[in-house]
Amino acid sequence: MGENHISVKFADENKRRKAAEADLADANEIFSLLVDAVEDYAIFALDPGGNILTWNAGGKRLKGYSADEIIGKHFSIFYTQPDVERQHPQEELEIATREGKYEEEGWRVRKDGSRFWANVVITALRDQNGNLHGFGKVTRDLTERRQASLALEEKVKERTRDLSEAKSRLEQAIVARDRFFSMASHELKTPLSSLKMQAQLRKRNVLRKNFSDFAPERLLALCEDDERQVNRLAILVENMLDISKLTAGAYRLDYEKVNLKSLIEEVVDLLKPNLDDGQNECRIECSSEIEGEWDRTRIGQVLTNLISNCAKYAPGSPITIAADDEKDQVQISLKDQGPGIPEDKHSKIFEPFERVHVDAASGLGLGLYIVNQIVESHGGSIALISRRGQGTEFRIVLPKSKKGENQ
Amino acid sequence: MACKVLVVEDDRDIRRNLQTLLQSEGYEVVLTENGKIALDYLSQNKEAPHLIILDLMMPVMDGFEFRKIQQGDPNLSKIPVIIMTADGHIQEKMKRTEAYASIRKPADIDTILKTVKQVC
Repeated sequence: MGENHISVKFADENKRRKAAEADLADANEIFSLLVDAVEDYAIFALDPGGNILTWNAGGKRLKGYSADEIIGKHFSIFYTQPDVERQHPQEELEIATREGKYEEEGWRVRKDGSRFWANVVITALRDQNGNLHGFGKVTRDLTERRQASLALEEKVKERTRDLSEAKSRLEQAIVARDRFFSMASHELKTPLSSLKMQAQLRKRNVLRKNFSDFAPERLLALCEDDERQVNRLAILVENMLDISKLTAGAYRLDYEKVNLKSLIEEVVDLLKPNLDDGQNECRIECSSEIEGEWDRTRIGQVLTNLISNCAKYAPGSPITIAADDEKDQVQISLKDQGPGIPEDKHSKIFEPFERVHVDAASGLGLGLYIVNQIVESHGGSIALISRRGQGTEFRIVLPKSKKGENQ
Repeated sequence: MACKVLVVEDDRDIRRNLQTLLQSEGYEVVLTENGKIALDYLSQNKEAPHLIILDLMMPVMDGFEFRKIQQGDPNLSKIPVIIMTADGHIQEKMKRTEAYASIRKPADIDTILKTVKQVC
């Protein structure tokens, strides 16, 4: 009875062990099938020397090798030449051996030689006694994620660059605006200052019964001073208003028939105090026959700006204003024998806020910009012919009739 | 002896108006049109002015540059300077030039005389 009991117990034990072994074999098989079927990850085992022992579907998909081709090969086959040369694969195994695990992201090479950006985890496989049996290696292809991340980084850099450029443009605009306001304040207040002092001095003289300033010749000279300062203010204010109109796109031309000679004479007469002050003798060479369809006020403004510039920057120099009738167009030339404009300044001279004679400490740098805008809006063109020390000539060509229409 | 005022101003009309105004009050007036001409005058004349009326924005040599050189010259540094300017930020410019006083353009002739009389 006792023996029988023992042998039954032994038989049960044996059965249980076999069942457990069968379960384990099943589990191993299921695990093996699972690993084999994974396609998104290359999961494989290496022997302690780094030779490939197993392969899965993910390995084939990621790296392009079939199990037959790769099993038995050293895993350094997946690395780039520079990585192999610096013995990086061995180094990874050493770290995994020492620390149990090694993980990195880096370039790996497919069978066809193409590269992909991989996340790699190498785990040391040890038995219960701690003996190293090999390594498990899991590799993921992160190329798309890396590209997306690089693209994002590039986009961020690009936006940062755009922002920084916009900031620098804004800062420049603020500096230009401040300089403009400072100059505008100076330019407006200087003639005002002179006019105010003159008015107060005259008032004071009357109150003190001192009439020496009221002798006809003296009074004429004082009136001409006033007129010159008023002209200066008027040109300045007109230019400033035009700049705001040009900026707002509210610039319109009012065409009418204009006799050129009478317009030139009118402007020269208006600027007489300025020309007298600059001791500029003005010669007009224009046939009284020349007529065109223009905005009279605007073309007058062109002449006013150019002639007052001559008086300002070429004192003492004779000025010649000549006009030639050339079929459908008129050429107007304004020439002085002043200091001239250096050639390196020519390209910027018609841009706003540019001042050639910065040393003159006056002027807003708007006049020639507006002159050019007016001439161009009439369908004409303006050219500068000047060299340092050899005088300045502005040559304007204006169509005789409104843009696009024949006379 | 009349009090001598050196005017350094590039606008001819303002220069002449200052001369008319100051002379009518008995001042002796010397006119110069920029900092350089003013320095040339000062170096060539033994009798220094009692006061300098100085514009700031001028061609050739502006008021700031003139003041720097004037302050660096022991023979000239003690001459008081009144700045006369159309620019904004006049207090800041007063500090920068260490001027005795300032006159803002466009100025009243009474203000000009009152400020000048504080010196001589």
